[in-house]
Amino acid sequence: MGGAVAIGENVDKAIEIYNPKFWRTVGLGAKLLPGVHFRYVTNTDSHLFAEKDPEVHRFVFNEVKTIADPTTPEKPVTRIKRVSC
Amino acid sequence: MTGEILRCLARVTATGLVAALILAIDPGAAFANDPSIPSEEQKQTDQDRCKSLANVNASILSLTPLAWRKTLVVLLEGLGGRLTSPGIVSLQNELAVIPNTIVPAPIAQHDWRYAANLIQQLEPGTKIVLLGYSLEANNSTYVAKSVNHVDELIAIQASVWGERLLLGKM
Repeated sequence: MGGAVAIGENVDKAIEIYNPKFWRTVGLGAKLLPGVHFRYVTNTDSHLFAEKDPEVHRFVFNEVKTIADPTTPEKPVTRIKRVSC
Repeated sequence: MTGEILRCLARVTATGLVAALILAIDPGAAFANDPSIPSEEQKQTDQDRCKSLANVNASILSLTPLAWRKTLVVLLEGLGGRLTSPGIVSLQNELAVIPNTIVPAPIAQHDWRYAANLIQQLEPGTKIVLLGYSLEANNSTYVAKSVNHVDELIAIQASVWGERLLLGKM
């Protein structure tokens, strides 16, 4: 199975975007990474589209701007839903 | 009739000239009660205001190093590099517009140790965002594990398969 290590306390915040429908990504985007402070966010993207999805890009933009420059205007994200904290 | 009007106008003009002359010599006398000229009390208030503004400026200046802390965004491509991760490549330009943000070119899947080294060499206080896609989402956990601190890790569709491809598993 795809390897990963549980991330520890040195990571302040961790977010994983995954597709809970295993066969939609043929398992390539369905692994839940372990670790503290992980939050899981679901989407319905195929694996090859996930990294190109404008919604994912806007989500990433908002996350980075929150850390780097909170005054930068946020981009609207509607389809990505946060599952757990 | 016309003569009377002319005489009246001449008198008014003469009065105006006299008033203008008085004002030019001693403007203070005419505007003694003008609120635009500060009294002693007002001067004191202004000084107090200046002092408090100076304090605010000092506070802002002392916060400046925090405000100018840079954020490094490390992008990790999936297996297949740029061919299979064009979206990660385009994220570089999209994120670079955020002020105080440095976004180097995405790092190839087999070079994740380079990402760890890059993060370790940064000045203390630099904020770090780590983003990995596919197998690099898996690898991003190894990167995070091998550095002192990561502010945020974003993993996009980590893979269930391909453990053998995760180079340098710890």
